[in-house]
Formats: sequence, C-alpha cells, structure tokens
Amino acid sequence: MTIKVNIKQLGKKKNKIAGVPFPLEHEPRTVRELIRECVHTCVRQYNERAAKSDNPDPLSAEQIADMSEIGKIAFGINYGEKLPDEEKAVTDAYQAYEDGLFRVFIGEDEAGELDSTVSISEGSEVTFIRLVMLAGRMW
Amino acid sequence: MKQLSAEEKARLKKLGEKYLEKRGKFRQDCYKKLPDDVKELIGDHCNYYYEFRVGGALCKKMIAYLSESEKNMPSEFIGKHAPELFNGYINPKHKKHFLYTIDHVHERIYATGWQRRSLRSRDPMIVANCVINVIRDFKEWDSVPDDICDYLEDNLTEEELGYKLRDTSLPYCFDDLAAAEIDFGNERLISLLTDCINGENDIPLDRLMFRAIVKSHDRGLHELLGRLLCAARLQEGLRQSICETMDEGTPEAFLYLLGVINENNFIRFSSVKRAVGTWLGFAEEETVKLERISDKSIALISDCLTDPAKREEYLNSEDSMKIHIGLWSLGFYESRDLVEKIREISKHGSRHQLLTASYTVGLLNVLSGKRVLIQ
Repeated sequence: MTIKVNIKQLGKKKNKIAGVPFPLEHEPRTVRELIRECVHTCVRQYNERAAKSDNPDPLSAEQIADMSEIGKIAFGINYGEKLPDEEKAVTDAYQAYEDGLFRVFIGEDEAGELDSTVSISEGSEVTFIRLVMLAGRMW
Repeated sequence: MKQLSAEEKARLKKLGEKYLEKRGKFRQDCYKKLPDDVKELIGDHCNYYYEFRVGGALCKKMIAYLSESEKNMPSEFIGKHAPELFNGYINPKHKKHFLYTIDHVHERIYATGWQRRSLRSRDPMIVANCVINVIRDFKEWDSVPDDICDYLEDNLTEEELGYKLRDTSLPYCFDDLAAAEIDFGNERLISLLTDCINGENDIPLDRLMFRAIVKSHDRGLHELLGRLLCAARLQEGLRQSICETMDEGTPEAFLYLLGVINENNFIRFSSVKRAVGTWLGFAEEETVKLERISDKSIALISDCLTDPAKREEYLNSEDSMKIHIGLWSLGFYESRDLVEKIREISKHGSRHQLLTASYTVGLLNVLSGKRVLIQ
C-alpha cells in the first residue's frame, strides 16, 4: 500500500517534506507497526541508492530546485561501504518516539502510545513532526 | 515571586544596593573584631582543585586536632577555638547550619567548579581547607535572612527583597543551609521544595535546590529528584543540571540517581554523557572524548562503587577504562585510597596499568598529583 508522508518541523510554516508517496509492504495496525514499516521502507530505499552509487538516477529540475533551498544538491548516496542495520534503526526509532523526539499524526489526529491502534488505508496522510531538545541549563 | 512592575523592581533594586553596602560594612566591622589567629585562618582559603594550604597557626592546630582521631569533629574545634566567627561575620542564626555543614564535608566532594572531580576525603588537611571555604561561603554568600523558607517565599523586608532581585540565582550557601534544614526535618522547607519540583508553587527551580537535595539524607527527596530526571523528556538542560549536580552530594544520593540512569538507559542522552565525563575527569574542551562514554561506563561505575570484588578485578585488568573507573571509584569514597592504589600500581603494576594510573593522577589536585608522580 502507499501512504502520503509529510515531515514538518515545529515553528516552520512550510513542510520539510510535503506529501511524498511512501510505499509500505504491510498494512500497519499499531503505531509500532507503522514506525517499523516506515523505517523498513527508508532503509530499503537507502540501500537501493547505495547499490546504484556508480550509476545514480538523474535528478529532476524540481529536485535540484528543492535541494538548492537547503544548500546542498546531492544524489542522497552515502559512499561508505557500511550498510544500515535495520533492526537497530527500528529500535532507535521506537526509542526516539518514546522519548518524544518526534510525533506522528494520521490525518489530523495524533497517534498515541506505541501500541495504540491506528487506522491506515491506501492514500492516508501521515505527518511526522520532529521536535528539538531544550538545551538551556540552569546554572 | 509576585509580579512586579519595572519601576517597582528598579526601586527595590536600589534599596538592595544600599542593603548590600550596609551588609558589607557590618561584616567588615565584625571582621575587625575577630582575633588575629581567626583572621589568619579565614585568609587561608584556597582553590581545592589546584592546591591545599597548611596555612597559619589555627589551621595547623585544626589539622592536628582532626588527625588525632576520626571522632574529632570540625564543629567542636571551631566552637572551641573560633567562636567569635558567629559575632555576625557568620549569621549567628545560621550557626547550627554552618556547624552541621563542616561536620559533613567529608561525605561531599571537596573540589568545586567545572574542573571538579567526584572525590571525597577525611584527610585532615582537606577537611580543614573545606572548613575554611565553608566559612568563606557563609560569610560572602549568605544573603538569606534568618529563615530559609521566608526567603524562598519572599516574606522579606523591601531591602532584602531588593537584594534578592539583584541576582537571578540563589545565594551560594543556599544548598548548605537547605541541606542542613532538610536533615533537621524542616517539613515546611521539604514541602516547599517538593511543590517547587512538582510545579505547584511559584518558586523558580534552581540548580542549588538539586545540590541541597543530594547533600541531604532525605531519601524521599532523592526519589523526587529521580522522578524529575525521568520526567525531563525533551528538557536536555534540566537533565544536564540534575546529572552534573548529583555527584556533589552524598554517595547514597549519587548511587540512587545512578540507579535511575542505569534503569532507564539515560546514557543515550548527551547531557548525561557529559555529566559522566565530568565525574570521571574526561570533561575537557575536546568533547570528542565523550564518545568513549557509553552504557558500559555506567555499568562499570555501578560495579566499582557497589562491589569491591569487581573493583579489584577491574583494577587487575589491562582495560584502561576499567582501571581508570576502578581507581576513580576508590577516590569517590576516599581519595587517600586512590593515592595508595596508584602507589601500589607504580611499584607492582604492568606497564599499561602504570600508564593508565598516570592518567588517573590528573583527577587529584595538582600538588597531590605531583607528589604521587614524583614518588
């Protein structure tokens, strides 16, 4: 199935990534499964890009324009030989969710605890909001 | 603190300036009335990290008195040989807090500042130097009028309130005063601190409150601080403040909070890594060194502080981190044991153990460190 993913940072009007179609292998029934599926897709896409590092897909004019906004135009390929460990990436993502480093909204409703049930169907809009640590210490 | 208009604040701050002047003059007058040997004792204050001083006649006498027996308490010595200190130079209403503090310096770390290390000692010279520094803290920083709870709740005269407004932080000796009051069982203070941490009153949270809690022996407040650490979530600064303060109190408070860190795997947060770096002596400008700190370091610290057999095993290993933490854990309770162990390694240890021990010498203050190195 394919969902639509937004990535947003609080305090910024524009979505960092807006409405990207995102394929999932299985239909998630809980937040935990949704995170696992999303990480799985990210890791798979990353590995596919790494496998084609000698012959990457050409960038479209739109991609170049988008990337020029953040100041770096690249193929998104890590030229190192180390591939990501998917299990560790999933564990870290669960931990980050529990720590509140990012929040997930399905449509306009916030997803709850990791084991809360979610209702996701073809074309559902899922928004990931990244939060930043407050670093000011009391001294 | 109640909301004040800018004009009101400015008016009170002016009163505070005058109060500061008046207080300074009063303390100076009190100082002039002190006997010469007490003046000499006060003049001996030092920076704990860099050096210790044997000082004048009264300081030497205190060191000799403390050396006679571990049962000899600094408070008895000061009460007998320098009672004039409470002529106003140290607020007489805070005498019992001061005496309680100097009798407990051995269970708190003796170094201060960002280069401090988590070392404690009953060494008479170190205790004497700590006593002198507590005198200085109570003289210079004690702007708390007689009752600490009234101070927190702003039940103050206008000039005292103006003086409080001058600074955004609590006075330096607040933690010692509050720790003593907590141990004396001051329920009002315990309730004020509990409500403050739970966000149920208007008193601003301050790092010195954490220090007061870890210096006290109140398990309930230690647990409250542990819960605050768990609740910090995205507040990395709050986590940093708690973790970088938790080594400044009693070993029991430290071990309890270390357990909380261990249980929740808080070492994944960089603020906690930085705090561990501070305790262990890795906190230098090269923050890259902090990458060496992991959950393994927390497990080693916990093992070494609670299991002497494990500590001995680590000290006999060839693993630098194990040796360093093993040595550090000796100094955590008594820095003389750390020095003794380094001496032993210098005589009988392997080359690698000796090299690690020479790094660990850096935990000690410069003069003691040099002495060990020379030997």
